[in-house]
Amino acid sequence: MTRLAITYALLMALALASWLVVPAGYALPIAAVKAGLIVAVFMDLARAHPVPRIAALVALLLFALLCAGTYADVATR
Amino acid sequence: MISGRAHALRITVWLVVASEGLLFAGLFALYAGYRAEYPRGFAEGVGLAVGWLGGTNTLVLLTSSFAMAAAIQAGPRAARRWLVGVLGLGGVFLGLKGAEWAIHIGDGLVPGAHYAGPHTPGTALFVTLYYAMTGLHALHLVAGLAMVAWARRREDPAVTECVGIYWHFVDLVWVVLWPLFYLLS
Repeated sequence: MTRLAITYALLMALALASWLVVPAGYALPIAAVKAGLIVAVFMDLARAHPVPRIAALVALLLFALLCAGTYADVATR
Repeated sequence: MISGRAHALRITVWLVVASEGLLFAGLFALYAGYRAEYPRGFAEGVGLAVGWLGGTNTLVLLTSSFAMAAAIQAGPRAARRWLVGVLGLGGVFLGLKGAEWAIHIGDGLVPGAHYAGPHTPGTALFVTLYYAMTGLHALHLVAGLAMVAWARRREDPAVTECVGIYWHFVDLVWVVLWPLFYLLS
């Protein structure tokens, strides 16, 4: 429970920082950190069976591929 | 036998979450492509957002995720109480989202022919994406609430854990949606 409470406090601090303190340009990197915390601690992927980890990794790779394709499209217009 | 069932449930929900993630990934790519094409229109669109509602909803959903994680770690009886908290916070999120949509609709920020917002190129597109993506997220949240209510009745730790993974995924999607529609002006 302590691990969860610390993660929750971190998530709230990051959310409040990107809402009220930090310039808007940092909002997406902060969102990525929050997403990582949720996946690793709340969804417990760090300690999950290899199959869910592979499924998550493949989804992440496909997402990266989609982002790269979008970037390539925008950059070459 | 029970652990085998729990394992199968866990893998199933992870596969569902991974495929749902790709559905949202396509929409994020669409947003990125249009944002690159209409940077001013999208920045103006973000300026139309009701910032305090989006921020409050973020805090509400993060808190619901914590409650869900606590429900998974707690015993079956304590889990029921935590799950009531998740249901309540999910309801608050939907209520605030509905209030926000009502404000936008009242301001004429609606997709299609009745759009009456700023005419900077791309802003109407931003509004359409706003409704499509936050609406799809809200639908996932409604499905999540139904699952949480079901898990509360079942009092089965494996079911609670799997519903929790789905709930955290819904939170995760919002964590990315929030900067796109409320912060990146």
